[in-house]
Parts: sequence; C-alpha cells; structure tokens
Amino acid sequence: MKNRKIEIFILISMVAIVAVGILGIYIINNVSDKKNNQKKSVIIPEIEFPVSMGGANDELIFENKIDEKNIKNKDIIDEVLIVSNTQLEKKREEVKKAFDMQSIDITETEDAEIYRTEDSTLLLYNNGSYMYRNNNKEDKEIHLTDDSCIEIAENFLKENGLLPDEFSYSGIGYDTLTDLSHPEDEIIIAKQIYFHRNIDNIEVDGNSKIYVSIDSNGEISEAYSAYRDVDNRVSVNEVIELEEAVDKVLNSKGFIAVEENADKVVLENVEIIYWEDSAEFSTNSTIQPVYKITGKSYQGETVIGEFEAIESAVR
Amino acid sequence: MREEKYYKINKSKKICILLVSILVLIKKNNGYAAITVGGSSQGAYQSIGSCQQKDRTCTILTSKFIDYLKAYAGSYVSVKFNYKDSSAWEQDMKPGTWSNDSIDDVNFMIFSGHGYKKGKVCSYNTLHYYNLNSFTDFHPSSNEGMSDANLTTKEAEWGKSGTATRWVATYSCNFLNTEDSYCRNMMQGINIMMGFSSTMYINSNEGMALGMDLGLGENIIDSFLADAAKNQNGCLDNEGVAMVIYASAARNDTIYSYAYANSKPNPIGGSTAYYSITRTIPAKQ
Repeated sequence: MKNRKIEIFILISMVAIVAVGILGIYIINNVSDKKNNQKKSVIIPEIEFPVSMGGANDELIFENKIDEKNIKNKDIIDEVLIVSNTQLEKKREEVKKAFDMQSIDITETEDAEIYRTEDSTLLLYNNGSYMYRNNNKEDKEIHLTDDSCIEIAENFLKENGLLPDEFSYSGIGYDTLTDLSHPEDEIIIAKQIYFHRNIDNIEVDGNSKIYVSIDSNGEISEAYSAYRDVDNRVSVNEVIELEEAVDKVLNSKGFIAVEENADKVVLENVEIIYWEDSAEFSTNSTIQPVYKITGKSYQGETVIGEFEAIESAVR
Repeated sequence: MREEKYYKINKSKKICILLVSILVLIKKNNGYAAITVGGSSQGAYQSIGSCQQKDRTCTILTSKFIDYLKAYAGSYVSVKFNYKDSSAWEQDMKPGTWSNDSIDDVNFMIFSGHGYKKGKVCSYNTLHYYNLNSFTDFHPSSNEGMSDANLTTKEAEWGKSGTATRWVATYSCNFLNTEDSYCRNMMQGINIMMGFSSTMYINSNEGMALGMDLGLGENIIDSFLADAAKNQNGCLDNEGVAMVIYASAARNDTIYSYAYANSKPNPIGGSTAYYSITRTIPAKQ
C-alpha cells in the first residue's frame, strides 16, 4: 500500500515537472518573440510631402503656443504600420467584376494591368490602387441631389466590396460646365464623392483615398481607389522630437497650408496622425505616424484662416 | 546653350512600355501626324534665383510627365525641349517672340512653377519666372512684378495662325483664376487649356499619371481633371479648383485623335464655340 502511494506521488511529480517544463518553454519562447519583434526594424522611407504653390509670405512670423504635454494620440508615435498586397489578386478580381471587365483582354505594363473597351478604361496599378473611367459619358446637367449621389456612391462601393470599414465619406466636388458665350448658364454635370481613411480612429492623411464620380444618369463615370491593407506593426528605431518637427515648420519644410495673405502664424495644437502614400506609382511600404500641427493664420492682429503643417515623426 | 535633362527609365520598363506603345499606336493612330512636346519649369526660386517665392519640385513634375508620355507613346511623341530652372524663362511661354524652341513650336506645352493671381504683382494672372529671359540675370527680390519675370494672361495669346500649339497644361496657382477677365485669353487657336484657378499643390505623381494617361490615348480633358482629383484632394485646407477651357469640337481630343488636325479653332469671341469645365476638389473634412 505504501509502495503504491510512493508510485502515485512519483507519477504526479513527474507530470508536474513536465507541465512546468512545457510552461517554461512556452513563456521563454513568447518573451523571446516579443523581444525579437521589438528588435525588428524597418527602413522608413522619407515622406515626399506635396508642397503648396501658394505664395506664402517669405517674412512669415511664427509664434509657438504649443503645450508639449498635450500631444493628442502620442501613444501611436513609436510604431509604423507595414502595408502589403497579400490580397491583391482577390481585390483585382472584385474590381474587374464591379466594372464588368472580367472578360476583357489584359494589357500589362510595368506600372499597371490595363483593361479597355470601346467605352471605358480600367487601370489596375501594381500597388493595388485602381482608376476606372467611362469614356462615353455625356456632359448633361445632373439633377440628383448631393445626398442621392453620396448614396449611389456608397451603395456601389459597398455592394462590390470596394469600401472597407475604415473609410468614410469626407467631401463632395462638382464638375461645372460653362458655355463661354453665355457664362451665366452654368450647369453641374458630375459630382465626385470622396472617402477618407481612419485607422483605429486615427485620421489618415496623405495620398490614400477613394472617390467616385456620378454623372447625369446616376452612373459611375470615374472611380479611383488608393489604399493598402495593414499587415503588421513594427517598432521604430527613432522618434523625431516635437522640437525638431516645429523647427521644420518654422523653416517651411514638410507639408504647409497657410493663408496666402498671412503675415503671422500661431502654432496652437499638435496631434499624431497617420500618413499613407498609396498613390498609383507609390512603392512606399509603410503608413507612418506624423505630427499634425495646427493653428491660426493672421494678417496683423486679425485671424484670416487656419494653419496646418504635417511633419515626419519617425525615421 | 540651354541644358536638357531627362529622367531615365530602366531597360525592362522600356521594353514593356514599348510593346504597349506599339499596341496603342496601332489602335489609336488614325493617320494623325506625330506630336511635339515642350516643357518649361522652374523650381529653384531661391536657391538659384533671388525670388520671394520658395523652392519647389516643379521641374520633377514636368520631367516625369514628359518621361511617362514618351514612354507610353513611343516615337509618336517627339520631345522638342524641356527647359528647367535657369534654362527656362518667360519667352518659353511667350508667343511670337522666339524661334524654334518656344510654345509656338510644339503641339503640347507643359509649364510648372509659381503663379500669381491678378493684383498680387501684376494687373493679370501670371506664370512666374525668377530670371529675366537670361539664365544669368535674376529679378531682384524686391520686384516680383517685373515684366520679363511674368508671363501674363494678356500676353498668353496662344495658337495663332502659323503656330503648332494645340494643348497647354499649366501646373501653377491661379493662372486661370476667374477674377482676371483675361483668364481665357489664351484661346486664340489652341484646342484645350488646362490649369488651376486656385492654390494648387505640386506632386510629381500628378505629372506621371497625366503622361501615362495621355500616352495610352485617354481623353485629355477627363485625364487632366481625374489626375487633379487624385492628387490635389487631401492636400488642401481650402477647396481647390482645376479647370479646362476648350473649343467645343476638342472635347474628345486624345493625342492620337483630335479636332482641328488641319486647321485651328477661331479665337475666343468669334464663331468657334468654347466651353470650360471646372472641377472643385473639396478640402478634407
């Protein structure tokens, strides 16, 4: 009986030792993975900001009223998002289906797959962005309301799986036709519905967007989409300090939007947002955190508009 | 001697694009003569010139447009000149004053650089240069409005009899700003004028996209407006306005198939019907 108890004791001990061992290996592996992840680094391409051709005053005076303790979304500053085209073929099939181009012969270039009919063109760029154009539309007055056009655009994109949840309506543009012999007779012939991206409720600025143009018949006459899926998140090697970013603003580097007649700018707020460049020829593989610095444009002591600057936050 | 530099595109790209170009030409060329292209752009407004305007990457936009157009259109497009920075000056865009290498001598002309709207430095909207019709003579920083540093809308009487000009694209702020009553004055015999009547943002991607679209034989007007919508939206704190002005018969022009192949539209105000399309590009909400 005593021997039996000893055997059970030894058996339980052995099971316990094995269990502790497995648990130990699991913990060590996980810690190691996390460390490896933290050690992973990625080459962060320098952002090519679009630059305003507006004639900002060269003698612009800057006044910095930013409270560095109040940087919104600061917790996202030390990670870049890695984008890829793992779903590229699936996405391309959806796009071809949406624009009825499945049975059209393809022409390939180094920049894009091209599908053309007598009436329309579809360009599927290498990075996953696409452009569709109906080349047979008529310049007739559109009588649909803005809300109807927004609804048509959203329904079309959603029904075809072309509007990810991260995108939401962001604005409307108008094509206005004018007979120059009767300039008072302007008519609106198309409306463009724009959608922009948020990731984890953080604004995404840059060149990623979706827009759809609606013609007078309520048909899709243009569609453009430029975004890529986030595959991974990687810690950055170096975060750029706010002071350096503000210095760039003071030297008019980066993306600057200021009222043309301003002679003074007051910098007031800073938040971290994302910057994505997925325009058709872009090979940029990251979505980066950037500083969005906002404030007011002044002429003398009068506020004449807003001010906005975007500066890199990582390298 | 004025310097010309082109961005190089690698060999494999050239081969791929050559094949497409041949297909495009077979499909699109209905016997129209090959076209000539010219470029004039300035970017080093302060680092070379003494201008109050800041340096911008305008020369890259123009060069990439020409590269992609040439790559996709092949030998159908002949690049006559692409003047950049101190090699570019007002007479590139001024009609009737220069021989063999100005806007008068090419079918498609592209400008990229700063622009002033009426009342800022001149009585008209202008395309602004930092030099004075010479690569050694810069306008003083105190005088942005000097005549030789500004091609005004009043001077831009493009496309008159005897000139080759058919299409013009300007990537600058406000050249087509409608506060200037001369903002359509350039329609003296050209088919299509393209530009902006607001502040715009320079993004070389826009030049690449237009070059590729036109080389593929896409509609010129629709391509310009779409490429503006793609690249200008999201950049602006205020609404942007891209604009095209065109002779009615040129609405469906491509570089391979176009109206007035053997004639010219009459100057604006005459018997030719002219239209404009403006595309407003909303600021991001």
